[in-house]
Amino acid sequence: MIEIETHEWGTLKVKEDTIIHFQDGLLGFEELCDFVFVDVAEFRPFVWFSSVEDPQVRFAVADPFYFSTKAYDVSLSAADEAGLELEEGDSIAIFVIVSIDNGQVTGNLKGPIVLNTRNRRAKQLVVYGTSFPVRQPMLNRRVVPLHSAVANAAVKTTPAA
Amino acid sequence: MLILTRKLGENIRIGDKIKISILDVKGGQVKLGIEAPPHVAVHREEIYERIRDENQRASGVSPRGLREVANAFRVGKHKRQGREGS
Repeated sequence: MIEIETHEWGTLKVKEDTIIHFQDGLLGFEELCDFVFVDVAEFRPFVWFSSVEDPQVRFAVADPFYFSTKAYDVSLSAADEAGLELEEGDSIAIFVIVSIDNGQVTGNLKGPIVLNTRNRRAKQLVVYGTSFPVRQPMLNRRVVPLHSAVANAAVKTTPAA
Repeated sequence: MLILTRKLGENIRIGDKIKISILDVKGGQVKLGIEAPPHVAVHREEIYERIRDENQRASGVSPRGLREVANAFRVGKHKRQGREGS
């Protein structure tokens, strides 16, 4: 366990293997390379993403599907894959940074964060094309993965031997 | 900074794999053709600036503000497209 100072939540004790590492930081925050998720029930569906190095810096992040039902085509370049040390069979998570202006929530679909869940290496991408803006307003609904949609509806059975 | 003068139709090479061509010069605008391997990210400078500005802006989201929108979203009273509703 290590202790992290935060302005918002005081001292947090976190396991070292929950720290997310950016090789190049975030744009505008290049000197900050280590972050942790702070998941507080009252803020869901948003999650805080808090800097380990600077107690003042934290972002609200969310699933991109709260902002767009379009297929979110985030293609990783060979350099991105190398930065994430992506290997066969790794899982990646994609989330977006949220901002609020006058009660309007927007997600930055142009610069999503991609995370290799195995080694917790992350990178802020710059998505090509004009389909995904920096400030995409939040939708009232989102697309969820099929297994989360059927979680309560599916018949549970054990596989035949 | 290295400064090179090029004419229309002339190129610049950066290393073996990157080629920048001057395709058109009209008024104050220069049209460039860029050939680069897929691992090299090529974007307009403004895109980086916009994401940088947005990161900066997002770092100012207050817990209070986020709590409000999270509550509104959970009870299905989320304001859409900036429209005010209760």
